[in-house]
Amino acid sequence: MTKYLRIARFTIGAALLAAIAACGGGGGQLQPVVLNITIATLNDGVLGVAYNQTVTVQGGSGAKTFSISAGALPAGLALNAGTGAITGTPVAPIGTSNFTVMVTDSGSTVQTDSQALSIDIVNPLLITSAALPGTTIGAAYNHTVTATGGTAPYTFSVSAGALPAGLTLTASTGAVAGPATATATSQNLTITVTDSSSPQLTATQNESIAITLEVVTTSLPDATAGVAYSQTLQARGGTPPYVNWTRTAGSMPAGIADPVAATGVVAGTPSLVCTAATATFTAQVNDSAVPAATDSQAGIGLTVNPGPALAITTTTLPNGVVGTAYDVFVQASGGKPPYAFSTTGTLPSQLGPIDGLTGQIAGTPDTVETRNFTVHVSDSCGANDSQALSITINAVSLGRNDSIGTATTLSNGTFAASISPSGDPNTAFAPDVDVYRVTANAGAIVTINVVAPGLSPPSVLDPVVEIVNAGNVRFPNNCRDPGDNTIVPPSPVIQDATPAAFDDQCVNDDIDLGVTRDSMLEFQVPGAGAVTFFVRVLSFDGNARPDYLYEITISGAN
Amino acid sequence: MLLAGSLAGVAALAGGPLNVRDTGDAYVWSTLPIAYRTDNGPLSATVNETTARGRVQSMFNVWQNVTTSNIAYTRAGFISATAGFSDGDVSTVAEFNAIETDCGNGVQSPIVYDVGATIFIGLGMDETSIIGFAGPCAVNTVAPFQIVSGHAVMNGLFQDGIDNGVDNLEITAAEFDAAFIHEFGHFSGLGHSQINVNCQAFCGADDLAGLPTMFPVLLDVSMGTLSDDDRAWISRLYPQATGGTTFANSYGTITGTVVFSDGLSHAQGVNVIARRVDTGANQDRTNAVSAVSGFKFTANPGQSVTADYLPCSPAASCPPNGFADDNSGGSANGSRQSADIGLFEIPVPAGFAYTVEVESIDPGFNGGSRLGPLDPPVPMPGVAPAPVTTAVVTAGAAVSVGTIVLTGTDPRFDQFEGP
Repeated sequence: MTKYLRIARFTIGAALLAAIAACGGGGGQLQPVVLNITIATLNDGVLGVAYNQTVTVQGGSGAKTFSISAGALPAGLALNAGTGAITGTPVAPIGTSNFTVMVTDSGSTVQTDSQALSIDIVNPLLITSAALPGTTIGAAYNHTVTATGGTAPYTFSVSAGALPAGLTLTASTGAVAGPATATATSQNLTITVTDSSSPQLTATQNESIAITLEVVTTSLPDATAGVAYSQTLQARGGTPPYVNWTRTAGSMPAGIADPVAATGVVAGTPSLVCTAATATFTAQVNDSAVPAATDSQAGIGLTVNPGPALAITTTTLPNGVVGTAYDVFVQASGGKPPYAFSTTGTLPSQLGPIDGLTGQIAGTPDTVETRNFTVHVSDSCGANDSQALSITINAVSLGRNDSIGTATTLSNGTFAASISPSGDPNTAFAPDVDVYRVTANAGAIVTINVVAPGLSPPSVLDPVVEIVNAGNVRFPNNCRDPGDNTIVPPSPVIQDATPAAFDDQCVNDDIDLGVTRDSMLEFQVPGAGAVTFFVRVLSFDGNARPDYLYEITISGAN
Repeated sequence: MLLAGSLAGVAALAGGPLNVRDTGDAYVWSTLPIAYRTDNGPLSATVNETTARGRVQSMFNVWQNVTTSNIAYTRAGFISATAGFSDGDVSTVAEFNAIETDCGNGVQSPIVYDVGATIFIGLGMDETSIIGFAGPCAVNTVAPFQIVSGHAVMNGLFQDGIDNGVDNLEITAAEFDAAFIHEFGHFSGLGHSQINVNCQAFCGADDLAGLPTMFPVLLDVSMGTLSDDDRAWISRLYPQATGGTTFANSYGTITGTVVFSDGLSHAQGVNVIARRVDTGANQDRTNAVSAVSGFKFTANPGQSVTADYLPCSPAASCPPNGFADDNSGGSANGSRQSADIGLFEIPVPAGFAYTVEVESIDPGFNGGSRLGPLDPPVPMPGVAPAPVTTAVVTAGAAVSVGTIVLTGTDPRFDQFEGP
């Protein structure tokens, strides 16, 4: 259809300018005086649908009169001569009607104008295809939305909602193709088709594409006996959320609960087993559609494997101390309790026997010793394990006997010891000393003899012995150095005028000058009653180390 | 100003340096070349002064020829006259004492020829077995506490052409010179080294090649030729810092600490040998360098308990403070850093991998033959672990082998102590 637009052209003459001035001057609107039909095209009409469009004009003077000067209007339509409105409801046939509209004004000088026009009458636009069917995830899907009426070509689109995941709509053809993918769920949507009429016609159709509900879990990961377990049954399609999970057949492993209705979670701590065991069950689920869809999956398997092997986890046992209660448990893990403990070999005196059910070893040891033995354990599945262990029972320890406060109590006898290393800890040089607590009656003569040589391996310790009181003050004149008795002048230069008297300081490096690695003092205990004093042994050079051994012999004490 | 202090009685801390300072550094000579003076008398009836002088110079040259060391010696002339000595020939104990006073004061460094062992006999030394002795006489008493004088006495009885098989034995000139190359090592500040100790009983050619000149006893004339150990330590004490071949571009260092089985108590006095990894020529026997664990640390830190309990008469006869047995200060020589206990540092020729092994000091190496910080030596506690093999040691770098843990040693604490 070709359209033509006439362009109004006019010239303002001197007379017209005078008329404008007479109307009041600058505020007036210019009015074209030439009569002109300003519409060039008319809307299409739809068969059976009311039509109303006006032929518009400008210019001219007074009333206008419209008429069909050539051709004819479509059937069912008429032209209003006074207003130019074309109205009515088109009736068959469809097609294009060409006609000419003429308008006449009523001015002193009558003007007329004509305009060739046409109206296309078309059938109504309709979607004619049936509702789109549902599908199953993964299944082939190929259906077409079709339309009639209006003016081809058509354009299809989803104007509301969305297609299920995986389905697509081809705009030019209306083809809906799949398959629906794994995340697809049932969808409500609107498909719209538009044609090529002027104005454009539109038709819509609501669709509901259902995706089949499916329980997709066919088996569950293995569980381990005694180890917390949690897995979620899975469904797809339908209308989420998925609810009402139930076990409709079969059984769950001991310790594992039925699926949680709202979530499908399968959880619990499987009971201990001796061998692997598999339970199977049927799970059912609903979706949230109204009415709800239902699906179920039979033969879902869940295998429970045995836990860690039975093992004794205790590899060492603490030392004990004579006279101090000892109470430990040999620990086992894995396998299937209850456990049964036993031992072979000999436990330290007064300890045990091991508690067969708990592995407890208890008692109050009475002997300094080290005992090696083997602990055996078995479980209810018949599994076994063994562990070699030992318990050392020590004498009562005062810790590092390097001060008055931590002195080791000794009485008469000979004792082997070593001075702790110098530079101990190694970050600080600190020659060490051993301190012994001795008690003797006032007036008694206590002999302290510290000997380093003669040991095996030979010790190179050059020991010094000193006797002090509880305040760590050396007894100044209560001792006798036995070596004094053997001094032969002029060498050494030390002269003791009273070698037999207890009037020497209570410290000695060597029994005699020139003799190293032994040290002796004879101490006449001052005071009254039982007197406690302290013997200090240290290295002359200050360089003691773990293998610098010595023997201390005490006599005359209580 | 030269303030001289006597080194008499200072403990020898080998292998490596003869003596170490409180810093743990070796005592070395303050001035190079070391100026020595020789006796103007003959060495023996068969070795005149001129010959003896030439042999002394040749002996010193053995050390001086080590290219990675800058040590050097020069003869300053005959022994200078001093109070009690004027004839140039030190031939009596009195004359020896006179020049020893000079040596102790840092005045001169005499090389004495003792014809007929008169001096040895006069000093109460066994002239029938002692070929000679040498060492530093004095050190500066102010920083940097370096050696300022030394001495050597050669027993001419071993070079008089007489061997009666009883009390006048004869050794070859080469053997005699080998002994004094060893002694001049002491003179220069080197202590003893123990490598291939099996050579005291049986020694193959490879073991003999690796036997240090500074081995405590003369076993073979070949000891007149320096070993890797001798060259390494003289270079460590007197490093050549200039020229194409320097100590820094020729040597690396292997370090570590020997500890007891507890992994904590550091062990002094364990001989540590770095042997070159054998590539088919028995280099593990021919090329080795050693040190003794804890050689930097004083073996006698002392303690205060015995400081003042035995007054003696006269007080002056009881050093140091008028009390006998005063050991409150311990030994003045050697580091007192606890980290140096059990520590060893071994200079080794670069470019080779080494196996590091530990062993006991031979129990016979005590007194004048002492080796290491402990005298007498303490048997290595426990059992030696398997040797540790290092990566190839690069020049100027230190390779630590960490702690060498002896196995089966005595426990850290005795029966009366808990940890």
